[in-house]
Amino acid sequence: MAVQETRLALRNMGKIDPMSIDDYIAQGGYEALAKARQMDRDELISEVENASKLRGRGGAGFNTGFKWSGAKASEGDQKFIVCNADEGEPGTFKDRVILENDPHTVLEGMLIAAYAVGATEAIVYCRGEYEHQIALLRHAVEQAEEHGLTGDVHMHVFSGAGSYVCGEETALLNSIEGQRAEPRLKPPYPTVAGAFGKPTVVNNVETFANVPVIVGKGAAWYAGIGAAEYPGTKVFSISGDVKNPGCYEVATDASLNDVIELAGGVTEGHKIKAVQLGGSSCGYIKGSELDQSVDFDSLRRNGKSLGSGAVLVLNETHNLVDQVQQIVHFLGHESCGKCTPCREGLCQAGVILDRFAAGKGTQADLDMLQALHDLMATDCFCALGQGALTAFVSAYEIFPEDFRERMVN
Amino acid sequence: MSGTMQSSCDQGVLDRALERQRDHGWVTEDDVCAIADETGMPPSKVYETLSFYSMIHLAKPVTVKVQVCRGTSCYTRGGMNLLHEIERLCGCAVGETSPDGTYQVDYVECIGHCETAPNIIVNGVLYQAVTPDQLPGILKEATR
Repeated sequence: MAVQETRLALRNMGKIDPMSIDDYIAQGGYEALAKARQMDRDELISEVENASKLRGRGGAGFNTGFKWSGAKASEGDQKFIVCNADEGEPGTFKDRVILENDPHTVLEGMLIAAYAVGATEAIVYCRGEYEHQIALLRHAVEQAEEHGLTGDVHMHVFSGAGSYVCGEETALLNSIEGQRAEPRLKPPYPTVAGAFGKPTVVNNVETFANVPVIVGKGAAWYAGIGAAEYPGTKVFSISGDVKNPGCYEVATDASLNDVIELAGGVTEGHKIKAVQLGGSSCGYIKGSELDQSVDFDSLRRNGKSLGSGAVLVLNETHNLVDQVQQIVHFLGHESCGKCTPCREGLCQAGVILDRFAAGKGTQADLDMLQALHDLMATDCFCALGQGALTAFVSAYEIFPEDFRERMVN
Repeated sequence: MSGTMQSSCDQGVLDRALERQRDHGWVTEDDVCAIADETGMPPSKVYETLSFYSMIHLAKPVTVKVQVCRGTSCYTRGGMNLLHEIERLCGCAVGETSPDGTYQVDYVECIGHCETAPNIIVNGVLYQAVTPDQLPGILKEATR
């Protein structure tokens, strides 16, 4: 029996007009906010942290409530809630789909978080390319204010302007402050010193979208869905060689095969060679090994990452050298240039992979790529550089023949 | 500090720049100075920030800017075929401007519409699930 979608973050998709707060309210919207505001703050945080075990849907899988309790405990005359809507991971479009279908669920999640930690400033930082979604968000903020729902919280929507590294939370905070988006040294973590040096919670769009459901239906109900340690659902962005690319939301105990089946499976007449799960900084999974659970921890135990939930399906016609070449040029372009291993490492890796793409790779080139990976994984300042050659290492491990095919004899 | 924070909190530096860019196509020196005045940042600092971001144009743009998404999804679904056809039609290679200054061809990093790959952006307008035979029409439309 094929798995069905379980829609929590996307529960209102297709049911409401994203421009209408009345539609959202008619579906029970903002009831969770009212309920949360009747609760004791520590009790509310404990519900999210310990009972629901909600973990960040941006990619790191960090316990959401733990961030909230950290920010609540930090000293500060002002506190910030920031929604990371800087969705730039190649193959990822779930946050866009959530925002364009249901902007209010994200705002409601943020307002609940603001109440929990005692924040008076709430900022959505959305990638600049999502102009339509930014307009929807700004409209939604106005409506929430008119309905008196924002209370003492000032809500703002900030546009990015084309920078992938802003997805890294401290780079994003620098961008909010009007700086170049270079990541900061951690600690201090944002919960101690974030936006403008104030205690700040940074959560992903999908994470906030789940919060009203958890508060509304209760953490115990939520924790009963999906995998025990990574409960709830995950929204997958499926693209590449499948029949019906799009976003699909499933309980976290579904398998990768289930998710691909929801998207109609591989395109007619082909078979799946590999799937890149999680985005460009993540590894590949062989087409024959897709019968594994999509939950964060099972994947990690198998040496894979869930990442953003991007599922890029590749059929047998692709040589992974070309994929890795694209990824390395993408990351090279998006490297902020702050640290040398990332800036220079990606430049060199790009030169080498161009040689492979032209059929002129050598064994020395492979050794150099491996050495660059080992260096960058430990010495780069942030995750962009640290994971930049993960896709190469994985591709070479699983499909060495793709690289041999592109080497000089 | 708190005064600066409040004003920066109302509207971001990037939003201020993008607003002006939407109005007249790029961010001029006067714009930079105005943003500096509004935010209390020195103009050099505003330049430092704005020059980091690929959507900000600090020079007058060409007539038609064609950007081909090189996210892995678009690449997988034939983005490079589109790029080669665009290069041929525009008469310039990626990263360059055509000899008559009409076209500029460039990559854009993943734009988050992967389900309709391959995608391109022409003068800020998104075209989805593009096939090579649609390109002459799209480019002609953009020069009007």
